[in-house]
Amino acid sequence: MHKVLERQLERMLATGHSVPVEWREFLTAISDTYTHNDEDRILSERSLDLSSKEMVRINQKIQEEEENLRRERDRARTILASMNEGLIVVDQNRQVLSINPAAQQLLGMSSQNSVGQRAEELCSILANGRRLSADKRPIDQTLKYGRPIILTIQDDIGIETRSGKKFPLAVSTAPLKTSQKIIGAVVAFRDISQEKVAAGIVERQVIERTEEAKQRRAQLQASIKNLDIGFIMADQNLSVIMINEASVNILGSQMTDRPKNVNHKIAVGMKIADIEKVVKDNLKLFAECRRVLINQRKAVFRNIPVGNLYLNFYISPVIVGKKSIGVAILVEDTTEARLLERSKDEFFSIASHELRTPLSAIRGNTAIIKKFYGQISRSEIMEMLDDIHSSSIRLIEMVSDFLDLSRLQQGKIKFNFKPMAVGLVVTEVVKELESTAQANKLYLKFSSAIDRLPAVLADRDRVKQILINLVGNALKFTDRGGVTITGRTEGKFVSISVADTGRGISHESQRLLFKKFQQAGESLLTRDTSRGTGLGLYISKLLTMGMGGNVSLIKTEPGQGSTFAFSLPLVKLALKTPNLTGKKITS
Amino acid sequence: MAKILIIEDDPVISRMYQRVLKLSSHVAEIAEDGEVGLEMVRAVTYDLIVLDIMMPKVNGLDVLKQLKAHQETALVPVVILTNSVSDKVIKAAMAMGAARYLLKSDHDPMEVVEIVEDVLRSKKS
Repeated sequence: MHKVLERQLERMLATGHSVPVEWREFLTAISDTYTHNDEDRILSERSLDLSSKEMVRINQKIQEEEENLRRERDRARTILASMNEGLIVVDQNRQVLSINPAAQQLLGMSSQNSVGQRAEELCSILANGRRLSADKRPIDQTLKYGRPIILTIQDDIGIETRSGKKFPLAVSTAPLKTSQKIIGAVVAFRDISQEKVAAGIVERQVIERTEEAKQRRAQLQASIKNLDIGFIMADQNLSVIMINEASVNILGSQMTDRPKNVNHKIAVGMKIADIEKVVKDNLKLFAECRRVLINQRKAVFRNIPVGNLYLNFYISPVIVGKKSIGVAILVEDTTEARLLERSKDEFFSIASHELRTPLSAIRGNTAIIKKFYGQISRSEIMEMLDDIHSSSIRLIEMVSDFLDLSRLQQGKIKFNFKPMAVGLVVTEVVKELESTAQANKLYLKFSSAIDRLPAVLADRDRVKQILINLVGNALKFTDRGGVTITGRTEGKFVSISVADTGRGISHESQRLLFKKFQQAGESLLTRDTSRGTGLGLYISKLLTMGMGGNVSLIKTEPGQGSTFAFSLPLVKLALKTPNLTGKKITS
Repeated sequence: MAKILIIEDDPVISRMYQRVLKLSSHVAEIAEDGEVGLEMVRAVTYDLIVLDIMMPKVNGLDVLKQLKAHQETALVPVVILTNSVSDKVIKAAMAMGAARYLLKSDHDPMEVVEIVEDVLRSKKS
């Protein structure tokens, strides 16, 4: 009820004035009505109030949202504008709704020309160079099936613009959907010409690298093939998967039951257990390989006697990641090295013995002369002086050999190269050694052809030294018959041969022939009276090589004799070779 | 005055020892290798044998072995006179019963004679 009326009514009621019943009812009714209306009005006012507040709030919210949306739109616009990728939005009928600047640039179309057009009117899509029909184009597929489509450099997609420009394309399309309906699509695309070029480069590099890798592998295989050392690779079942020639040679040569023409009785596919049969009891090859495989640690077995040889076995695991996938075995023939080691020891033994002998003779004879001077006849004294003299010469020769060797090895020998006739030196040497030959009832002759040989460029003294070595050896090792010296021209060299009818050289001895510590093979103590250090041939070899030639064993037959030959360059050739004079010798 | 066999392949050396033994009133004969030496030993009785090690055909140690293997020769004292210094060889020779092992270059020939006479004396006693 209205407040004024209410107050009135209260006053009236309060004063107790008698209010007629009808008035009271009427007032009550009015009051009620007013009260109701008031309430309603208050409600309305209140709800109006609320509504206005609500409206303001909603309005504010709407404004905020608009602001956000505007910001989003602006951001999207910026992104679209600055995107390198072309972006086109189409509706479900393939009509272009919007096209960003990048797309415009790529297609050579402005926004006005594009918006509203059908997508297929903007450009053609090429697959493998051929135009795709409308329904095969990515946009269509996406609109039809609502699935995104991504095509990359691999798919060989291209585009042809209205102006005829063509370029390769990477494109992805995505559908725009409401809850159920497809309402359009977004197409993002870019020009991948650069990427294609880069991919081409990468592909070429891959091919090149693969080639390189293939070459390296071939080289590795070749070097493994050509290794002196035997190389065997076996898988985890210890089956041979790779084996080089050296292994076949080393191990094959020791197979006693090997038929002559079958080289690959040891071969790929063989089991290690089979190879073990060659090695026999001296090394449990199979068991050791297994152990290496399991423990993943390498093992070395040295100086295993296998037939006539001494071999070292080096077994290594082949580990990939953490697993053993096989073993690699190196087989090293150390027989010669052992021989050489032994002969080194023997050399020093022989050398010390050889030096001591003439020293004993000199010391002893001089001591005797001093003590017994009055008691010895003149002839005896002369004999002793002879012995002293020859011993000292022997000693000097030996020491010269050692010094020569030392200097040769250090490259300090200087050759006095001059054109010379070999024939003259041969004559000299024969004269000097004639008496030795005669003393042993041997002949020593040379062919007359030697005098007619063309001149060589060499150091005369060294040539003489080499000849004395070869002829001296020949005489030493010959019991019956004699020594013949011949010569001939061989290409650009003169070759001199020294042939004897002596004992010949055993196979084993041949191996060490021109090596430093020669006199090995037979028992040390039974060496023959060669009165030498065994250095002669080695020195001769270094000398001939230093003069541009070589020395070698031509042939030998045990019991029949041997022929050695050395060569020297003809004057004509030698003068053409710039580095010949003063050549350093490396052993 | 002993009868001595020198088994030595180097004539310069063997002559020298023969000479010095002669000058010391002994008789010395020379065998130029092991084979000849063994022959001579079988034919003649020597008071002492001077034996070289490094020789052709049969080396000194083998000769020593053979000497000691036969009754008739086993008791003849053997003095090894060599320029071989190998410990192995020395041990082997002494183990086989050589009386002495001498390095040629270590001694004047007269010293060798003294040692030979020493061995002869100890054999007698």
